[in-house]
Amino acid sequence: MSSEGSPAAARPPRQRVQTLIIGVLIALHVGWLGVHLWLVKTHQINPWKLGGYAMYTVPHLNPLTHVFVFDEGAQRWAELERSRALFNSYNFDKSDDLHVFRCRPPGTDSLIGFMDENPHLRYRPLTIAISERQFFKDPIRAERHPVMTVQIAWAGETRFAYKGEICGTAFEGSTPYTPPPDSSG
Amino acid sequence: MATIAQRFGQFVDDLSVPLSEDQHGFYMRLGFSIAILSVVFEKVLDLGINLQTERYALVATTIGFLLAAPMVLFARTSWAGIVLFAISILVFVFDKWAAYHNHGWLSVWCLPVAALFGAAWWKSELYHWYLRVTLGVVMVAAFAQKLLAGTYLDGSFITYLSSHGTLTEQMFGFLCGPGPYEAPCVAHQALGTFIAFWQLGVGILLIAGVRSLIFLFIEIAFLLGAGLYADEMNFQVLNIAILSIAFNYGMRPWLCGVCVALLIIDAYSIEGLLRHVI
Repeated sequence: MSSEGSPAAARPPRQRVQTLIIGVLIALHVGWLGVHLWLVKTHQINPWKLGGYAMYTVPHLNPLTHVFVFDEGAQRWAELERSRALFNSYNFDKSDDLHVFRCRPPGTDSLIGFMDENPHLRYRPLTIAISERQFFKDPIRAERHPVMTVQIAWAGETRFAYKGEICGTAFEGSTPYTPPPDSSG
Repeated sequence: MATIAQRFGQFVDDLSVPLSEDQHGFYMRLGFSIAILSVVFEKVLDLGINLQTERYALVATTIGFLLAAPMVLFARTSWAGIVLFAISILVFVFDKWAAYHNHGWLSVWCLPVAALFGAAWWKSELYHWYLRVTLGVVMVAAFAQKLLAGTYLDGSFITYLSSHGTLTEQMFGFLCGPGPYEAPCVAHQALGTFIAFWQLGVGILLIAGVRSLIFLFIEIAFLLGAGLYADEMNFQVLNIAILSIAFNYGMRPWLCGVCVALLIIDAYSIEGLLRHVI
């Protein structure tokens, strides 16, 4: 600023406006960086995201969505293989902001989005889980662990209830459901 | 020691020969263009996916970036190019804010602001000052995040990369002897501490207004080293391009050559190229 070489009052109006705007931008940037640090510390958001410049402070979390269906014959939960494209999670992941807010339960819009994009999995008991790579120091390693699980149970074909746990905190709810007109169930 | 300093000073003088106003303006705009290219190189890679998934707004933003890069180069169209870039990146951020990486966020904070300074934006001392302070703030923030994560001063992240990182990220493994490494050694603690405090120091110097070209060149060298280590050059090229404008040095041919080469290398990754050659 000193290189401008003149006191603020003597600057032409245009330059004063420019100075004001960039001052506001710097204040906003610094403010956001403070908020980001706070979010990382207290809400455990993904530090790599949201413009806080915390990349390479921990390994990439690479959150992944997993889906389990209840196998009536074997009376156990079986995971659907992601690699065989047995389910889609694009809408679910996008509606949940790609799980950047790691400890925020998925909203009903995410779960509805999942049902919309997976007609073959509607009206069945389901478990959806999110796992991510976590960093450990003793010994030093990164391992994939689940951070969220949610079980879904249907009440007829127009409503489902969900109950789950994220970052050790329980959540539950229910929502009406209407399949999109162009999908088959 | 004095001879080395003298020779280094001479080297810096050679690299910073005075330019005509036209030349200087061109190199400043070239710096901006390279900064846009560093964004383009990531977006172009997404182009196929966005076309497949019919996300035409994102396809349009990529085309906007591609057009903005050459427009910025010419004095007549430079301002329009910046506005086109600003519109494109704001549309892009609106759609992909959750997935957006820090490289992209830095360009959002630094590049569209140039439009505020009119057709001859590259002459604005105020814009140069804004870029220096913004980069300084980013460096200090990166230091604060490293302290908060608690993985640098104890060397644990360096040790993790040495064992589990990509090919180039393992380059400092030798400091702790043969792996696998279960706990950080003193050398990794020292390296982690150095990296964190280097960022703090650079951040403070930038905010304080240090504009020595020697400082610029040392920081460029550090950024190149960091890019090589992390096998990620896009972010470093963006930083270097912004620094070249912030220091009113411009993207001189030697620096432009380095940046363009790095962008091309980054598209394949250093590891990919090394493995191909080996």
